[in-house]
Amino acid sequence: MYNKPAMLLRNFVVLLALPVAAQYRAGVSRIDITPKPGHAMGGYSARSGNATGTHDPLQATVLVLESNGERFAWITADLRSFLSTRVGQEVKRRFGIGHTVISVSHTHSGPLTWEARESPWYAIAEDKMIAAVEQASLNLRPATLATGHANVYIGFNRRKISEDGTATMQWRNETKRPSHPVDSEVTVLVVQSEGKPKAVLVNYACHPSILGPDNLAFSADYPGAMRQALEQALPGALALFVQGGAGDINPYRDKEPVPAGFDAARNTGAELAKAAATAVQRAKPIAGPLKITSEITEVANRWKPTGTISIGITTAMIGDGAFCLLALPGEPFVEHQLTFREKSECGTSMLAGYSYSVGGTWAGYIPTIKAAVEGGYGANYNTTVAVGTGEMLIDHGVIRLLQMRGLLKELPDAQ
Amino acid sequence: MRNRTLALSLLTLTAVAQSFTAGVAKIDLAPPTGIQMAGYSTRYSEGVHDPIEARVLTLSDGRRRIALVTLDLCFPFEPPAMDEIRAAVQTQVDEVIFHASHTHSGPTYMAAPEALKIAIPRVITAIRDAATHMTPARIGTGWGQTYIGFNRRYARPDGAMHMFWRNESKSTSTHPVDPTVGVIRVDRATDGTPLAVLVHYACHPVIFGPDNLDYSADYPYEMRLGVEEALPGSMAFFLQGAPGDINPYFDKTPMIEDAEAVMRATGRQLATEAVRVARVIQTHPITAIHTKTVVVTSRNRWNIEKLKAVAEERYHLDPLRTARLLRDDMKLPVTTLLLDDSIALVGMPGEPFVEFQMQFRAKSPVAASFLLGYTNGYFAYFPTIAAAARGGYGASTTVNPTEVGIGERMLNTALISIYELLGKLKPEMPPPPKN
Repeated sequence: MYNKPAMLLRNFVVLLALPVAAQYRAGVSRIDITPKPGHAMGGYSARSGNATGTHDPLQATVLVLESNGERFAWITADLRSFLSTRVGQEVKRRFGIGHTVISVSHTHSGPLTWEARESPWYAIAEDKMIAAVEQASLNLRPATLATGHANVYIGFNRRKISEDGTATMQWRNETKRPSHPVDSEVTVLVVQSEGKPKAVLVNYACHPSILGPDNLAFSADYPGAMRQALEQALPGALALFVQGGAGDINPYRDKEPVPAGFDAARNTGAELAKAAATAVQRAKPIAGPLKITSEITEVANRWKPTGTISIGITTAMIGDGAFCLLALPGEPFVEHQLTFREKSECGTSMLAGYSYSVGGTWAGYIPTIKAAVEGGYGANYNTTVAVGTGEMLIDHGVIRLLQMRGLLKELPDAQ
Repeated sequence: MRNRTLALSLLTLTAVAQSFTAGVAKIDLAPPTGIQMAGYSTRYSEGVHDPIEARVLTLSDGRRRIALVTLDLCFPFEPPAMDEIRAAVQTQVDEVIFHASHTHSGPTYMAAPEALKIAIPRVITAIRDAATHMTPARIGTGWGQTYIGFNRRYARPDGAMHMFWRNESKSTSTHPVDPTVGVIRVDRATDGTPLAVLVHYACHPVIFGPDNLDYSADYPYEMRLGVEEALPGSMAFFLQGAPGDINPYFDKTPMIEDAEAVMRATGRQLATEAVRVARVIQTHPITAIHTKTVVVTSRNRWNIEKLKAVAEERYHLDPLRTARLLRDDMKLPVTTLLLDDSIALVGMPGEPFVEFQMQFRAKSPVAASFLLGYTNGYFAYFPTIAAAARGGYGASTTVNPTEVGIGERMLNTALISIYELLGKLKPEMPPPPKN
């Protein structure tokens, strides 16, 4: 008798809780974005000649997630870089998807992109991405999410620090001598529908530069091979590759001449796929609403302190820190990824480099302060962002995530 | 003839390169009694326990002369007073760095313009005194450890942050403490005797509580006495570190429980370790003194319109604290002082949490690196991002006007300044290597 009010209260709470419990719907799609032969290639200054054909197709694979009215389109594409505000704007206008991130793999066997934006291919690629998002959003199905981790070594740190504290570049490391820092972690976000994996996002940090400048055939490099192998292991699922903080990480067999390079890319992709499959097996369900925010931040130009560089970033979280994403349009050094994982305090965190979202420009290489001092490629040449930009962006992302968790309030606590 | 000129100029150059000199001076700021004291809720001074001093160390490499002015005050002077002093000494000193110990038993100059009029000429006199009595010098650094402070943040099992101000049982805290005692010794080059001993430690000088109405430098006063007794002929300085979350074990000891004895014992404990370290420091000359100040800007952290509406009745703040909380578009000077590539001092204008001091020492490329709070300005507390999210006093309260992450930004700014001063970060892009 005395229990009755409590019972009523409990039922009431359950009823109230139901509508706000996170329900996900997800859709996936894939489209071929390979340019025609004859298009200029991007990735190496040492390359002579335009593309003569295609070894394996360049693809855009799309995941659309919907949670409590919030919609997010994550486009992953086999390109070296890609800037487009049109894709995000069209996706928002036509399909009501508030946030779009275009994460490119950074393959060095793709087309020249921004520099060739006047080429008809550029607008075609944008249109295809928009079409792929449309297709994915037309097929939204109830979904559950899970994340998992595994470890694999396919890359090494290409900066060797001498006794005098300066860096020299070591592009290739066939003998697999130890290097530092490297992040061996593969993280996956698994989207399941009707009990089966529908999409697997695989995040890892390593330059897709197994194929070198001698290769004139379009290729997705090892990430394409990874997808193929993982999709064979998980029939019915689409694999998506999300490049991490690969600014200083090269594959052991960097610039392997063809045809051996094609084998090396396939083998490396298979190794990564195997680790990703382990991560999928280990994956644990995550729950909770999707929160996402995009913004543009300004940093100084390192070589012209009066000039500024606009950097668009997107931060997202699922649940109370179960899954966290920070997407940056440039090449963060791997230490930023390690720092982000530590400071974000999330179950699974992904630093998605090479990811264009809300606008701004391509930030290029984003070294750490220490690396900027040591010098080297992307650290004191071939980089334009102010020293300290990476540290600032990571902290910025961490602060956004803490806000999403409700830990940073708009008024001071009463003492 | 040409050779002789060359030889002569080389000699001059060598002489300049070796002309590292230092000077010291101190003066009583002589704040009148009856004015507002700084640090706790509003109260007015009635007497003097020990003098409120400015102690000045001047250093010169033969080209530039800098003055480090340490003050027995809760905060450095406000910018107009600092500017006035800098202008008055600009013919003798190229750069003046103001650093407060954060004693809670000093005057509030912001609320006492008449007292400030007495203090400013005295500080100017002390800087001139030190600048005109420079002697060839050598400098060295050393490290020790002692425990006089603890981290006043205590995380409960559910994560809620509880502040514990006093910890006389010396129980373990859930948050970090830095027991490092950093010592900088400046010797007279002529006879090797110590001219100045600078003791760096992170701990709030709050052994005297709000019931004390007599001016005092708190435990740094007794520390300096102890050092000067052990090393006669030297002047001792206290450099406050990053004690934004560090209190002394015997916080706010009531006067009737003999706070004076506790203050003296704490100061002596720090002095004992500082003297041990100072005695074994090897000193060397310095060829170049560099400074760099970078202004980091910050918006107000809070929803300022909402805050304005509720500041006074919700938080019961006096007008001074309200004004400090509601500041926007803040310009925070981060000052770096570099002596060759061997000693770095970085000043932040407020109260950094202790982790910043530890991170700075770990990340700085300079072997002896000291982070100083309360330097060249005052913008209240600088918690780490993680601390800001956990809450607690100084982490997410009315003493946090600046943006979350400002401490991290200032720390990175300081590291970049050090690398720039070391010549390791150049403004021009180097030519790519040929390979």
